[in-house]
Amino acid sequence: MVSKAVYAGIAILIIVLVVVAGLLMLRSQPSMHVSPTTTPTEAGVVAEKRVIRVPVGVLVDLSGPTSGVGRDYAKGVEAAFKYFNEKGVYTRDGVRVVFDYWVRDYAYNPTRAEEFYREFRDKYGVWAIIGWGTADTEKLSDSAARDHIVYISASYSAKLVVKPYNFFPAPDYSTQACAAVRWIASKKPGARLVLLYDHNAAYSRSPIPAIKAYAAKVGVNIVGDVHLPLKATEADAEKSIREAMAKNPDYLWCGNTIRSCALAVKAATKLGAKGMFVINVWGFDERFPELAGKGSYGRTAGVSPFRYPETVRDSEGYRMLVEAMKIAGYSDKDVGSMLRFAQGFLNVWLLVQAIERLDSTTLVKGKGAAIKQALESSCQGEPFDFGGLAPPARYCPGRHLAHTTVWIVVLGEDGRLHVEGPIEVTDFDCVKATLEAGG
Amino acid sequence: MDTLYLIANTAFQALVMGFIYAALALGYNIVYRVSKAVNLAEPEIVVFTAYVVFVLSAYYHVPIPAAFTLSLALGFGVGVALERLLARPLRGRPVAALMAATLGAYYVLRGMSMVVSRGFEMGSLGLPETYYSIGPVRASLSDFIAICVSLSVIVGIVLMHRYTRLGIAMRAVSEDAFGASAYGLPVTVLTMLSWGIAGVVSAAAAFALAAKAQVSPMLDFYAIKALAASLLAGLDSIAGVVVGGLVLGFMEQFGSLALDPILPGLGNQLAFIVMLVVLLFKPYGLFGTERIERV
Repeated sequence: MVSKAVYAGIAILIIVLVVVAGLLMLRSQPSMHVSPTTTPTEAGVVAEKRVIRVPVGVLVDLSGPTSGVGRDYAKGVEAAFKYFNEKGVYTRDGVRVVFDYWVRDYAYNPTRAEEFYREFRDKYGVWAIIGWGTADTEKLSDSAARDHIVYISASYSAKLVVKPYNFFPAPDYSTQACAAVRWIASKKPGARLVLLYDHNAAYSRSPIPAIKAYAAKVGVNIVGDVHLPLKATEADAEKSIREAMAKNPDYLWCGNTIRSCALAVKAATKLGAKGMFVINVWGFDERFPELAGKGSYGRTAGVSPFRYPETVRDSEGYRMLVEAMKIAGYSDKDVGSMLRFAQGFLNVWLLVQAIERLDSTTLVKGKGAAIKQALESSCQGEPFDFGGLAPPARYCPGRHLAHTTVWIVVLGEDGRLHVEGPIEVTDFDCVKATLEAGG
Repeated sequence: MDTLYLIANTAFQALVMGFIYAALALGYNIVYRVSKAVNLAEPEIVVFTAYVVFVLSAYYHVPIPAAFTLSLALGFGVGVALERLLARPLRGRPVAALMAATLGAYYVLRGMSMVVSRGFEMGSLGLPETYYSIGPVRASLSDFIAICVSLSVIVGIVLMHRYTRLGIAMRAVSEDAFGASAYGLPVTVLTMLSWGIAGVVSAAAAFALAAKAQVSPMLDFYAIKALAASLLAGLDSIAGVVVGGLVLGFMEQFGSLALDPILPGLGNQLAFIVMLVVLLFKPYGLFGTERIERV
């Protein structure tokens, strides 16, 4: 029998290695803190003159099924807060604003999101929330309205367009999807389209009624409605693609997040399925070619209401992103997708711009309600500008549809991303189509 | 679509997933045999070791075989650490205490995975995109890698348990720790080794799974589902996991095929229904030892 001492020796050696490796990894990581931050500089300012501290809750998915796009978004949000806190945000009458923010990973679980919402409201008294998913944002929208908390989400669900305290700096999913349908119709009139999405995920389901309604209007034939799980394996994706192949589509709409859509495209390549994939905003970004492999070249396109940051390097917005990354301590290697990072950054920037339109008294007295009013002041007034990263946004009371501009980003045969558009759907109310269908 | 093509390809994918589930289930069973508790930290051992392979290969350009080997060592280390820090101090206490402790370890490992992943959420192992047609079946290199890794680890563990002195000693400890101790076997060390080997098995299964599902925090979902295969086999059965895994793989793939058009998503949840049914009607599984206590 092997001696006890040898076993114990091996075990101790491995434990030591694990601990050392863990410590080394920890040392090399930029921190992802979850408590309010006040840098020494800010603390100095606080002591010198009047400062308004704006409490903000941040809900992100770092460990759940949408963490595939959630972590870079979270980094963008956090970097934006650090950036604006360092650069200085001022109300219209020149009073300094500092953000206190609390980041919570709710793992895409709406019940946990609700718990964190209560924590934000009751413990920290937040004035605004930078949120994430569709199911949780929709669920919390009435509470946010009741509690006068401005809720800027990464969910672009049509249902949120009509909610009084919900905002996002993009067209809703339905309007984006309608633009994709129009693009398909322009490429191939009478095209056969299969819808691939998770039938149980609010985010994936959200634009489907509008797609169906608009497709009928522009002569695109929906020939299949296939379930593709958000938590798919290659085996699941293959099953869905085989089902889709039976319908002989010219185009396939993938309405899930990037991991699931990349697996679907991979499966299509493997099975020799024909048809071009057109993918929802959260299902396609700069990482897609690597994730889906060379088989995805020339047969994949993504919908985007934002400019891909790398394509607008000369813009003010891009320069801000780069500076925010530096301030937050992120290098290029720390951010997988600049698009997701920018989406997080833009949500905070929208909040900042709204605050800059208020005077200090109104802000302190009105809190979330005042920020809402500032956002809606853009309806007839100056739109919110995002330095070239996204089209200017306007919000009208009762209809918070920022704009209707969408680009189609095509992954070419050369493996590069080519931008087509912009496309604007002006002949059809996609938000209404979704709302009427209860989508 | 050709029915033969559909059935053959679905069956092949069921086979691949079945072997992966079997390897994942084996990790649970090895621990259960020596500690009589389900190691609830296993899903995060899977995520953690998968991220180690991904980060080493993608960001430190370590060749995949070397990264995989290192992840096996790390899996062993994590298993041993869990035994030393949790199972050993809790020996003799109610089993629920150890299970609760492993649940705590699950969250610790989840945090470690997020640190190791360098804040990146997901990635591909970057395996070559090579496809093969075998009759009506369309297979990829990742299918074969998943099958080879899963089967190797299962066969290796079965052979070790049956034919090596170490394996026989481990079996003796799992059957009757007091008796084994009376015969001079180092029960503590053998228990620790069993946890370590379970960690290695989990790391190997993680690699096979990552080849099929990419690397993401969601890998823990499949490891949780593999518990159904483990329960079906019987928690103290080693070779039985192959049957448990394959039953689960086939149920899931053919269940999805049949049910998705009517009840989308139900096919992927069949594992949880299996768990419930097994616990209600056959709590010792198909091959588990039925223990009868006389009063």
